[in-house]
Amino acid sequence: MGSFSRLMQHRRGLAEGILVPVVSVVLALVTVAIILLMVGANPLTAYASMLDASFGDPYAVSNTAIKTMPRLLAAIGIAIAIRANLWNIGAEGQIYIGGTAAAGAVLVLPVLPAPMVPLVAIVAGGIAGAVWGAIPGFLRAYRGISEVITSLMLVYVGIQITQYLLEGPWAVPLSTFPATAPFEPYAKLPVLIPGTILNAGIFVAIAAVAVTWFLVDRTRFGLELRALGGNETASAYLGIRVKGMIVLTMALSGAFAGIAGAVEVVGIRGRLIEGFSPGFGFEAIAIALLGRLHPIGMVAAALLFGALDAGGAGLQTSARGVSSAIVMVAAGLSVGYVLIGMGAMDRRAKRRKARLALSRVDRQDTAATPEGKVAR
Amino acid sequence: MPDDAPTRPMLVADQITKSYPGVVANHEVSIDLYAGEIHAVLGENGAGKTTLMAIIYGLARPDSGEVRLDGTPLALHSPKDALSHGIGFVQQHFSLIPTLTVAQNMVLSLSNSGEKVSVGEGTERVRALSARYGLDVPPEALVSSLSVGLQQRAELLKALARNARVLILDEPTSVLTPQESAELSDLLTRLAADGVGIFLISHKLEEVLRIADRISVLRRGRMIGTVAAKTATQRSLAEMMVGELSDAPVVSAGHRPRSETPRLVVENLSVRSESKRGEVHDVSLELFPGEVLGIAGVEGSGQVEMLEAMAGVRQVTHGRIRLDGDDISSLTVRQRQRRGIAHIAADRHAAGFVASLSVADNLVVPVAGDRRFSQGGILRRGAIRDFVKQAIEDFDIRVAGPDVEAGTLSGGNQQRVVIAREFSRQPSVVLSCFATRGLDFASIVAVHERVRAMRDAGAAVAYASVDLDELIALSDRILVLYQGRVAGIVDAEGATSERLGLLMGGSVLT
Amino acid sequence: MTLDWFSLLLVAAIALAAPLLFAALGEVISETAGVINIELEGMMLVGAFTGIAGALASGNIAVAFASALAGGVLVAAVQGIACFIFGANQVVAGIVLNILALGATTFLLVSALGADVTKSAVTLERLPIPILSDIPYIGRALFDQSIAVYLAYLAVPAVWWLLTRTRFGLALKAVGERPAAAESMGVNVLKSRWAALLLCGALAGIGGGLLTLGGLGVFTPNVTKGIGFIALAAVIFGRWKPVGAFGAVMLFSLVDAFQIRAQALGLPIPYQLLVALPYLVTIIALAAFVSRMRPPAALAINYER
Repeated sequence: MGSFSRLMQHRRGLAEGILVPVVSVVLALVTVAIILLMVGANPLTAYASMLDASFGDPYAVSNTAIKTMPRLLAAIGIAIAIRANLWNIGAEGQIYIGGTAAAGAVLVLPVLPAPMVPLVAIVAGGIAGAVWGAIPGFLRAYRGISEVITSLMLVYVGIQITQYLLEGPWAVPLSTFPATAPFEPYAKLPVLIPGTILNAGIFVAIAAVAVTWFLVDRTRFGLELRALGGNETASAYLGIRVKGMIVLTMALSGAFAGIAGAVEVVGIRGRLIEGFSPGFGFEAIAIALLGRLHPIGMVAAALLFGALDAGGAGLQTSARGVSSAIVMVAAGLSVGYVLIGMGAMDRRAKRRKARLALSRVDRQDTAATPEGKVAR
Repeated sequence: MPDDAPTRPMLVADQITKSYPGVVANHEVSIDLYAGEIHAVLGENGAGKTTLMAIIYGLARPDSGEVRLDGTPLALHSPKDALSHGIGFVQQHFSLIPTLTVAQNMVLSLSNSGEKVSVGEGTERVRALSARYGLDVPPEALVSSLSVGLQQRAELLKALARNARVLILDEPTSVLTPQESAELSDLLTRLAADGVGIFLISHKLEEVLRIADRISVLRRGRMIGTVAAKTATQRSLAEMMVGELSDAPVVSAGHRPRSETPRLVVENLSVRSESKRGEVHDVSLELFPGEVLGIAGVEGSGQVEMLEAMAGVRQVTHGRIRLDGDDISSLTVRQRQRRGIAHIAADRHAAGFVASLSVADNLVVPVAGDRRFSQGGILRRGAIRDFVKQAIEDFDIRVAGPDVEAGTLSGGNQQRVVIAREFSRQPSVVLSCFATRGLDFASIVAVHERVRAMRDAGAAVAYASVDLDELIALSDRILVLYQGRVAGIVDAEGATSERLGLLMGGSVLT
Repeated sequence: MTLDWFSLLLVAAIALAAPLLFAALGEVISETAGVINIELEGMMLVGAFTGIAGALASGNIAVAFASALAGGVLVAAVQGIACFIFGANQVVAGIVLNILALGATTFLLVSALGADVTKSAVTLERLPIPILSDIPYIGRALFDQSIAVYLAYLAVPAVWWLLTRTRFGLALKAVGERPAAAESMGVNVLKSRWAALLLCGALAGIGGGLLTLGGLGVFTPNVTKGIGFIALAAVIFGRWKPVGAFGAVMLFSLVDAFQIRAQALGLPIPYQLLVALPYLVTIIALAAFVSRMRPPAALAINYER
């Protein structure tokens, strides 16, 4: 709560933290409406049917919720990395590796007591994702290679590993589609409310939000993480072991993406299946930025994307694929507007600062009064 | 000046005044330059040499005063204007593209003077000019593959190719080996004989006396005077540079009784640096409890790197650092902090603190692992809050609250945060580098008070500054660095800034 | 495996390489000037889409390629506005543009083109060069391709010449390496970067257009399937040089062509390993030869005067 209430205290913080994202989302929805108009659809009925399909009844809400979970989990991981000024572009690959490891745990470890299986699978997914994230972290820390490129390249390596297992060792004979056999019920996350598809993965997502907030705000690790993100050189001078922190942070970031993949596999799909993440890892970057890296902001942003995805199915359109397409357009536009909005605000702040520096020459004693802007 | 010297100066900078936020960099400074003359501009760091030259080169615009070439006032808005009038500037950081060849750099530079040449023509141009002045610059070599000396020549060629009549060289020999320096001197003499007028910015007394025809001395933004090199001596120049001080001993803080056993011992320390400036060679020193050891030297003499190596931020290439007898050379920064070392980094913005963190977070980072402030990695917020409140009060940080972003504070307050962070854990060794740089008067006084208080409490303090007055006022002993080596250690009591100035300028004293 | 088998492999590899090559060369130009385009994939995708749209609207192959080019330039222009005018992080803007490109083309495919009318009116014809195309084994691969493929290969020396032999190329290198020094020599950093970025958009757009117009003339959602990222990898693996990128593209394409045939042959190599190879070798090359794999110093760093 600390950083959130502090965020509210200051006008500029308020504008940056809430106003810009909200205005951006509204603008994005307006833009999408215009696009819908141009292709001959009525945006009002379209949005109404989307709203209905995403929040209209308990089933719809649960559908929105399960579409929110993997996106949110991956976004949390990405946000942690960005806090340390690390750009984990490869969450998508970590999702695949995590989901695959979770499936592996289910397939390989059948002797565990029933409720333990999905839990172990999620842990396995987290560990696998952590390893996949730690590789770019290690290369960045010890070889000076940008984590942007390596994490991105590893996405496709990860997807091919999944593909290999689905078409090789884990292939189901005579099946036409690359997927494992459906898991036994005991291996899946239980559905919480009958008649809906809301599963226990939501507890994982809620726990992840709480844990991250606590980790970043209340622990020594979080303090050092934020220092690293603010100034790497100064962090080294302050005695932080920068290289170790980089590897650890990227591993943690990958772990969340891996858990996202695992939850998708043992919670929603109930088996490992080709293309089980249709770009969650990339959308998560947009969610992290749209949510301004804040836990609550990211929940809101992920919920928006989940609702768009769920609601897209309610659009009266002729072909498959449109729902996710409209989500991507809305997602891309809203984050695009945020980028531009933040850029415009930064430039204005810089100009104001320059003017201030000039006027300071005239005013002599500035040190006597308390000064400063509240940190976020 | 050559015997057939023209009677009228080629270039005149007349009554130049330029102020930056908080400082007057140049105050009614006038200087002139004749064709075929080498005119050295001498002064301590911050004396205003670079500002004056930046104005002549169009990098900065004067608040008042004007630059005239052949009697005509120049409107210099950018280096492009200066270049088109035949004024060239060889800066300390060369403006060459390292991944291009010398000839390609030449082509780029020329094409912006409106002369469109091909790479082939550029190669010819480099070859011809290089032959004319005996420079030996290979036109097809990548700039990054050249030695610093050759890069400097390539930079000179670039200016000459644009028919520079006025050349400004900013501390050209500071990056060169003695051999290369000698060759550069020869080259400059030849260029002058060719009718080029040269401004040579330097702080090396011996060098300017050897090469220059006339020498102008700046001090604190004012022109102290211009003398003919023939009539000047190292002593007279040092006097002009550092001020009214003479042979009379300076009144210092007074010699203090100190412990017999040093707290920190540095043995034959060598440290590598990214550039040649700043390397440390074979430095040994002892730091006693309850003393301030001033570290003098022009900027880039290795003081920053030496202190960083002692603090653990920079790797030791050779030698050892002992704290209370134990070798600490391979300990991490945090381990050294735990053993009582505090470090005030030279570059406050780049390395001193984290601007995006709150004042409270900045204060607590180094000690967050202490049992007092965290348990099992979880921060104890109450204890931290108390500690931060106390530190803000004790160190007089003027801030609206502990959650204020440190980057939004004024420089003086930022440095108070740094000092509070480092001193509040009661270190036994303080390594301070340029701690008062860029601060207002009140903040400087506050820094001095803190340093004295630490010394009185028994800490061993190493205090580097480029300001001799500050060092003399604060130190018990002063170690002078010159190009990464110890030029001498003198007692502050009885030290004269003349003597220090000579040591800093590389004069060997007996 | 006969010589004929290899000949066919070569034919396939060279055809596969052409779209990649356009994009990679564009990215070489752009990264030389210090601008990274994670949205290279998006440029290609939009180019592939607008190419088909142009073909459907006009029935003219030249118009189709012109609209493919325009599609790539459009994406580049948005990137430029976000990064150069609003100071957005180049990598972030690139990711967002990829999402947007994928969403917009998929959506418009259904809503504007109509999902069933994806078969283009025109596709690129092969243009065999007389005599040369009859050379045994390599003739078909090298000289019985479409005009766009010939142009792709001619673009390699053209880009090399542009970057190393022209003042424009020198200026691009300067702004990608030391923008401040370049500015002090009088080079307009922003203008140079805009030029490089738009040129990259044009080439990547053509590459994307070639994917659809040079093949079946069909646009399907996400038709590029990560080719843009392979092109990014090729630029790195080729050490930011046109000829190096060409070598990397050829290597990746040969592996790709082999991979398709290896499945038919039933070789004991998992084809997925071959698909992942471009990414793996790029990471390994970066890790092993880090000192020699030096990107332009100012890559992805926005310049502010």
